[in-house]
Amino acid sequence: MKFLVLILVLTLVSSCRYDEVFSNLHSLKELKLDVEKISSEELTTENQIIVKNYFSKINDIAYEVKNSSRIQKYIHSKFDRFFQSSFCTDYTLDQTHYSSLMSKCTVNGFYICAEEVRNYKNLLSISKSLFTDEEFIKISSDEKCNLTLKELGLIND
Amino acid sequence: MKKLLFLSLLSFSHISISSETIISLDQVAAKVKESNFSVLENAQRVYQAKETINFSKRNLLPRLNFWSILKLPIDWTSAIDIVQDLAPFLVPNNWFRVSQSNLFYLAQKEQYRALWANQVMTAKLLYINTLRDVDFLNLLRVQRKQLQELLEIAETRAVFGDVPPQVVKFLKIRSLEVSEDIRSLENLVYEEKKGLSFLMGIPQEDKILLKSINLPSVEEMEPISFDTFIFRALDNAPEINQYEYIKEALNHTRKEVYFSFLGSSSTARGLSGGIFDSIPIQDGLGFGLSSSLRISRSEREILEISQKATSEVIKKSLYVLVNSFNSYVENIDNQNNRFQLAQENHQIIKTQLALGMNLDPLEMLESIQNLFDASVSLVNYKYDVVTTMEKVKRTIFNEDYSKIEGKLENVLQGTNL
Repeated sequence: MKFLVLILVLTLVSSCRYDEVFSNLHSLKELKLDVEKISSEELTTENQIIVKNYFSKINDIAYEVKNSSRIQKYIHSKFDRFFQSSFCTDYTLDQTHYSSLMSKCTVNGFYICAEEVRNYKNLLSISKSLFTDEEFIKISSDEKCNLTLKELGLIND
Repeated sequence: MKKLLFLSLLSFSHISISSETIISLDQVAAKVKESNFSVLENAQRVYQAKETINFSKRNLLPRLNFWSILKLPIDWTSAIDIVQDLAPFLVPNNWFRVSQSNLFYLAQKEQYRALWANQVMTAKLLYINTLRDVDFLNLLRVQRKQLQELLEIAETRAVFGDVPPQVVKFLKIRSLEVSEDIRSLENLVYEEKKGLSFLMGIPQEDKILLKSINLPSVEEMEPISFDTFIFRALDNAPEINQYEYIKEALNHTRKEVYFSFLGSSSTARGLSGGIFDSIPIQDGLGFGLSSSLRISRSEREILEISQKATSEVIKKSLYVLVNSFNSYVENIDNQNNRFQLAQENHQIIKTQLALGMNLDPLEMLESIQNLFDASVSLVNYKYDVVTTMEKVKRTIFNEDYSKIEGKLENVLQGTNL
């Protein structure tokens, strides 16, 4: 009995950790909208924080997934549940907004944004490598998503 | 023959001892990182801090203390003490020390980064300053040449009585002054190069040659704003980040106070751990607990104050830098105009002289001096802009000072990006 309880507790604790990754992913949706809202504004300290929050969240998710084979397995098993065709629209900042942001991140040759912003495309490439080819094909099968990923250089023509 | 061989060997060894090293500004950061004495020393501190984590972890494993075991047949009550030796992992405070040494390692890494950035900036600023002085030296040499030409004209005229002898003497005095300026500037450049060699860990026997840099087109630059720069300055500052780790380590010290009734830890906190020595921890649960907690709370206050002070220092220096940078950008036209006018004036004097007009040598001297002053001022101005930009780069951790760390470093590791 004790053994069963222990297993149950362990399962609950570990699944909480996996769900944290997914809750992070869901919060990304809000953060992305915030970045889009301020992308045409000046990069004040407040706006810089908004920008950092989105890109750091991508980094955090990539870090968690990359460093846990269990989370990777969990993601593969629950892929259809969490990753729908709206993936790109919901979570990925498109090239237009990103370019607009990056143009403001460089002033007189000084780079003033967070490092994660500059490494956005690298982070996306690493995130892409965490999916299987089949999963990535599923994600990019959506026409809009395909175009976004193409513009960001994640898919070749 | 033997003598000849010995002499040739001696000369060869001399050549190998004092070699010439050509350095560019882009190489300074790498040189400082690999050979600067303070950076190397601090890198060893980081290594020690990292090794302290392993030590603290291994200290959780059982250890053999022969004398404690020998004491056992004489005094059975000492069996409790053996717990520290046979099962140190049962003492919670030992675990807290592991966490603390890990946090102090991260704090030490931040300190290393700050020191490294400061050393890189010092070396780069010295490099830029040396180049500035070399440029001044070249301008002074040009001035000496111009003065020499003027002196020859004045001497010829003095023969015919067109120029009073005191003017010739005055020009000679000025020429000697310039020669003296050249001598002192040559010494200064020599001294600066030796200082630079030291900062880059290059043996003093070696002679260094500095590659020149492209001075920026200040006219094309835009003013910058404090509000857009301060985020990166504070977000990247290792001087601030280290406090986050130390504050977290302090939480473990508070836990140590609570769990002191299960034994105190004999493991050292590691490098930088000495800052918590002011927090007394009783060996066992006693009435001193609340005082210990109050002291640790006060220690946190001190850390908060220091962190706040550090961020204010960063803000202060950024405000000053932004203000300087903008004033340079806004006033570059004045400098250009001054130089242009001095150049035109000098050209008029030269043309009049070529036409054989009778010019006052002192007026000619003033024209040369004006041109020299304007040239020095313009060069100095542009070097000041380079220096200010370098300081801004250090403050916001750009280019040579930028470093990908933490989770981002981990995520990007092992990829060919």
